[in-house]
Amino acid sequence: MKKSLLALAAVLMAGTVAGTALALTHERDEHSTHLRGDHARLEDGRDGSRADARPDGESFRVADDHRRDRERHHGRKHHRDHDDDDDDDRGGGERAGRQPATGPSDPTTPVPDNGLFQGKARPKVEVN
Amino acid sequence: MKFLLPTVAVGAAFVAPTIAAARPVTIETTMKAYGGPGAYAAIWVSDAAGKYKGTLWMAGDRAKYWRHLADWQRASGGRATEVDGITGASVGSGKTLKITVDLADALIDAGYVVHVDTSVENGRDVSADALAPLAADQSGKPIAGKGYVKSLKVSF
Repeated sequence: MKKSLLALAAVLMAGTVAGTALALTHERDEHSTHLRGDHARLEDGRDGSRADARPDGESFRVADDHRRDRERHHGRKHHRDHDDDDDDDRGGGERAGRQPATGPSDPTTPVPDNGLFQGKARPKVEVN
Repeated sequence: MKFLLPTVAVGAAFVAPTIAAARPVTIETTMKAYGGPGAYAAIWVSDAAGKYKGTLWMAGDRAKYWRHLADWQRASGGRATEVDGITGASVGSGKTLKITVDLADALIDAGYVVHVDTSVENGRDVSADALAPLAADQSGKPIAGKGYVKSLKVSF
């Protein structure tokens, strides 16, 4: 009875130790893979940042800063693009150097019945 | 043949008053060389009491910006039906927008006034930028604007 209890305890202990060791190994592998991926991106420039990696991990801070800057810049650009869309809306699409179109936006639409347009004649419009 | 003359006479009797009741009126709005994007401009008419009569032309086809033409917006209610079929592109810096429309004789020398409201993106909104009376003695005389309009001239 005592021997079997000891054997069971030994098996359980061995299993626990083995499991813990395996878990630690897997976690370390994953971490190193992740770091290798970041480092590789830094080195080949895919991340858009400089590959000036330093052993103290400064490179990752640099990369993160660059990424944040880029995201901020992208955000501003997107906002500006959005504003530009509005600019186009507002200006009717005609910017300096472009001749604006003339005439009604929809030639088939009848003129308003406001008493100003005799015989419903559409106004003649020119821009010079 | 014997019916021709009476037919022509009767036709003329109906057509002649129509022709006589309206005359072509030209409204020229010249913008200053302000150097910005195209200006939105509402050209509209009020009666002697200052009440909105109707819009002659809307330069600038995006309805969401018409609210910047404050006098027009207030007077007309800003309804799209007021400018259906009489809307075109905004007017560029230094350009002249020339509109010719047949206006009823009854509108001439009766206190009616042509209003021009303007607005430019990243610029100002100018209500009553230029006002010109529909009056025979003012025909062809340029009137200076106070904002983006250099001059407004009504000729008939």
